[in-house]
Amino acid sequence: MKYFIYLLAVVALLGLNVGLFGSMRIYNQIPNLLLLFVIFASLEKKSAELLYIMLLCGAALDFYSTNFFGGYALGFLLVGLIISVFSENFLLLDFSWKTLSGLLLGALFLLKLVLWLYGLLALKFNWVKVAYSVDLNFYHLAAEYLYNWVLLYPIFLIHDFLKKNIDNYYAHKRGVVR
Amino acid sequence: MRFIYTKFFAFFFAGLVFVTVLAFFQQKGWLDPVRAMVLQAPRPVIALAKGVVLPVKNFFGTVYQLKKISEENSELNAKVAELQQGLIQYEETSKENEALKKELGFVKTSKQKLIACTALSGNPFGGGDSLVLNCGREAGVEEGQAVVSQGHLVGKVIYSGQNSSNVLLANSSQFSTDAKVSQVGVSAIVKGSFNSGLLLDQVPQTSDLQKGWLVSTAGINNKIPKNIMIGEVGDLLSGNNDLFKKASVISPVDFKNLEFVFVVKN
Repeated sequence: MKYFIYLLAVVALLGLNVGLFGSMRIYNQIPNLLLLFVIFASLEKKSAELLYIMLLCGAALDFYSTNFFGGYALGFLLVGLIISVFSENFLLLDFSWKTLSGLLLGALFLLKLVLWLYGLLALKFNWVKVAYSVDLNFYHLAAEYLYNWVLLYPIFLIHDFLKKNIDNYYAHKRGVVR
Repeated sequence: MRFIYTKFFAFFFAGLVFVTVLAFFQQKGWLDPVRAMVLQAPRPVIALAKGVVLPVKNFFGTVYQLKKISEENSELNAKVAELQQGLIQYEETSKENEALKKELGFVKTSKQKLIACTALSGNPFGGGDSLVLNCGREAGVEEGQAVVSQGHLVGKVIYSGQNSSNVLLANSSQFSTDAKVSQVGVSAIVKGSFNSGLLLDQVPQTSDLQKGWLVSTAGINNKIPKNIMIGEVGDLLSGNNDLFKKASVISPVDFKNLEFVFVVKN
C-alpha cells in the first residue's frame, strides 16, 4: 500500500514540477521537487523504502528528461546514500534550517556533477548525440538553489503528511489505536 | 560494523545494479514502452496545473507588455501591406515557373510529409533546450529530422524511441544547421545561443546582409529539407575586421511554450 502511495505522490509531484513550475521559471530554471522529496526521505527512512523512493524519483526524471537513462537515478542513489549516512552519523538532533540548506546545496551540486559525468560517459560510448557541458550544468546553480530552497518547507509538509498517514494506516492495521 | 557490510549498503548496491540493467535495456530500446507509459502518467496533473497557471500568466503578461504589443501591431500592419505586395509578385513568378517547368518537362516535386506530435515535456530539468515528443519510430520519426512549428524550424530529432522522441531545440547552444539568406542565396550556419535565441554565422564578408532578410534551411543536410523558414536577420553582431559576418536571427517561435509540433519527413 505504502509503495502505491509513494508512486502516486511521485507522479503528482512530477506533474506539478512540469505543469506548474514549468510555467514559472526563474533564470530559465525550475525547482526539482523530486530531489527535495528524496532529501527528506533520506533523512527519515532507510533500506527498502528509501531505495524504492530514490529509484522511482530518479527513473521518473530520467524518463521525463531527454538525457540518457540512469543519470538521475544514479544521482538520487548517491544523494540518498550520503544524506542517510550523514543523518545517522552526524545529525544528533532533529535537522535545522541551516542543516537543510547545506544538504540541499550539497545534493544539488552532487546531482549536477553526476549528471555531467554520466552525460560525458554516455557521449563517449555513443549512447547519446549531445551532452551538456560543465558550464551548462552549473551556470544557473544559484538560481536553482534559491528556487529549491523556497520550496523546501512545502515539500517537507507533503512528505510529513504522507509519512504520518502511512504510519497511522499501518498502526491501525495492526490494531493500535492512537 | 563497517559500512559496506550493512544492510543499507546492500540495498544501495542492488539499486546500482538495477540502474545499470535498466540503462542497458534503454540502450537496446527495450524500455521504450515503459517510457511511453511514464510520460503519460502525470499528464492529468500537468493539464490541471497549466489550466490554472497559464490564464493568470497570460493576463499579467499581456498587461505588462501592452505598450510593446501596440507598437508591434503597427509594425505588423505595415509588414502585412508589404507582404501583400510581395505575394502578388510571388504568384506571378510561381505561374511563370510552373509554365517553364512544363515546357522543360520537369517532374513535379513532392511536398514534405509532416508528422503531427505533441510536446510532452520541455525537459524542465535540462535547462529547457530540448523537448520530449509523443511520437517515435512507429510514426516514422527518425534521428536528424527537422521539427517545425508555425512553419518555422524549431529543432531536430536527436533520439527516436518506439513511441517517443527527443528534440534538440534550435535555441540550444548545442544546435547548428546549414542555412541560407533567401534574398542573396548565400549559405551560412544557424546556431543556438544558450537558450536566448539564434545566431547566423559564417556569412562571407563580401556578401550583403541586412536586417529583416529571411533565413531558411539550405538543404545541405539530407535529413533537413531546404526552404524551411528559420527567422529573419536581426542585429549585425560582427565588425568589419571579422572573418565572417554574424547576426542574430529573430524567430517568431516561443521555444518555452511549445505544445504541438510537426516532424518533417522527407
